[in-house]
Amino acid sequence: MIVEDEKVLSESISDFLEKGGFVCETAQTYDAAQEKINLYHYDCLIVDLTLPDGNGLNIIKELKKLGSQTGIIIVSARSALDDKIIGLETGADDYLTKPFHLSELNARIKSIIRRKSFEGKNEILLNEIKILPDSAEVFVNEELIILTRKEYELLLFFISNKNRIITKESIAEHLWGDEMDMADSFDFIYTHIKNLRKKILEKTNNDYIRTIYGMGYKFATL
Amino acid sequence: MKLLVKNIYLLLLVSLGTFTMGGIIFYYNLKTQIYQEVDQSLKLEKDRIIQKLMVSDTIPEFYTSFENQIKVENNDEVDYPFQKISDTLIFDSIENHFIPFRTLESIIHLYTKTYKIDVSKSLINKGDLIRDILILMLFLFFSLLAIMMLVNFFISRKLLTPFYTTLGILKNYQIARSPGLKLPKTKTKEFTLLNEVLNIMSEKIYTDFISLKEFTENASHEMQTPLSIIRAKLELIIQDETLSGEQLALIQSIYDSTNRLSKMSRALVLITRIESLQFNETKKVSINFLLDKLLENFAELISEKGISVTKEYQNELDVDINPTLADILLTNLLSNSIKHNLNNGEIIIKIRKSELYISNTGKELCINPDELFQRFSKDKSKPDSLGLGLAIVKKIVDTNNLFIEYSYADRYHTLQVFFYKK
Repeated sequence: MIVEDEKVLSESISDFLEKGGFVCETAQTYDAAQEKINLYHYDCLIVDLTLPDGNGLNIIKELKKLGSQTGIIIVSARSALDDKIIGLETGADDYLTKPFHLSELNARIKSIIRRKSFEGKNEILLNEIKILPDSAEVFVNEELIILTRKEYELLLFFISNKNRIITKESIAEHLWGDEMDMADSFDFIYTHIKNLRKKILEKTNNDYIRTIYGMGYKFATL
Repeated sequence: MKLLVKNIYLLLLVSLGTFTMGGIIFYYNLKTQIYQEVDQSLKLEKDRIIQKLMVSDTIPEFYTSFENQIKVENNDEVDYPFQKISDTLIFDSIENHFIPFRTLESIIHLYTKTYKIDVSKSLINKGDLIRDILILMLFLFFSLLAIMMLVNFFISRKLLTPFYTTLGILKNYQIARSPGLKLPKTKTKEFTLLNEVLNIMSEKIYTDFISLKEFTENASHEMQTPLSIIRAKLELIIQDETLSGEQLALIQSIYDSTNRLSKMSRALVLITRIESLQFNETKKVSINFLLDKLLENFAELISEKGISVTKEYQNELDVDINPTLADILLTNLLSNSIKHNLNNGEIIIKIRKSELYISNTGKELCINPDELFQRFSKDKSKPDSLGLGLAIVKKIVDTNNLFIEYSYADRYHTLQVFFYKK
């Protein structure tokens, strides 16, 4: 469920996520959100902290009181560190600062759902690629390939957002975080992607990573 | 100059003037008085001599001494009577120097005879008297002055106590920490007035500060939401497979501008937040540790660019600073030294006592070094740069009362941060 008072934004988020196969519901007010969490069970909750009729933190508290296993991601325009710490202490699993990339949100939702639902015995399968997130190992056609940490994160990010165009900026932010506002980082992305592609191609004939000229990249499973 | 000292100086100056003037007048007055008295006694002496001369035909012997000389003789040359008083110097053969005398010379007719009477009195004792009086006066003057200064000092100090209290409160006042100064009432009307004015002023400043803070927060929130929407919509649009390359290029440039706008607003909000002292909780931060941690984060970028890093930590540097600010400060300095570095360049990080030096190789600056720390001053060859990194650094340095300096020597750009209060 998406709890966000800005209708246009919450529509965009649900649009994006639904294309990835999620079923989304939205709530634009604190009251509506409160009603829904008491009635239904959700895998993941996306909460904006500043709602017109209440604080998003209280929804998280309520959810925790219900003993829910729902994954929680806070999205907030407030980038103050304190808010982040308070949010995570209240029981949120993740914190995203606006404006965020939808692909980043998507990757985080997937990672949370994965953590919550598999409880340890956890693997991601995509055609001939198998990823064991607990040991951070990647197998292609049952053969282990050795990836650097960044390459591994990149692959995971790609698979979370498979068949979507991912912009260079969102990759840069995913890999290096917010502070790294360096034009140089696009060159590094290029290098990492080149290496990743080479390592995968050593074991299989399928070239998954497509370059979308100027925009970014796409991990196509077709 | 302290008010107390200034007060005493002025007092000293005025009393010195007054006492000098008074002293001069007193001196001359005294001298005239003494002369008058001496002249009086000379005349008396003369009258006594005349009386004695009246009862005897011959000139009797008068008792004289060196100090008190009397000379009476017959004189027929001058036949008109006269009297003249003058200062003379008489040589003292024993003491071997001249001694000032007051002499009365007169010619008188008595019956048929004419006498010349000279009476002299030494002034040496009178001079001593004047000197003694002057010394006494000086002594009096200085002791009076000392007492006056002492009294003035204590009175002023007591009177100014509320002033210093106010000053102390003002000095330690940090707007982010308490609403208004809350200065106490005092017994002096002027100080009470001053405190009231300051109280009102500080409360006004505090409300302004709060509204600025709220504005900053609102501005950040309200701006990021539309930006999120634009970005989200764009990300949706680009998923469309039917888009032409031209359209994609257009979208890309909108996307880039959105990102820039978002980063810029975040950076500006950060600067405003630093300015309004919203990061005011300080902790002991180890600069060495923080540097190592950040260098690890940057390791990849550093190695991609082929930069070699040299660390020279002479000592442990612990600083009382807000941890978030310390993080931002060092991150910006390091990323700056990477961003503006050459391929296969060098970074040298030095800690010397409480100074931190970050040097890097790089092209010469194309802007004036004085403008380096200003907002939006940037290298023209790097249009993607926001030009806010060093402005943030400067803000942090300023709000923490630290000091930063830029220098360029021998291909190395160096930023030097002084971690001690100015």
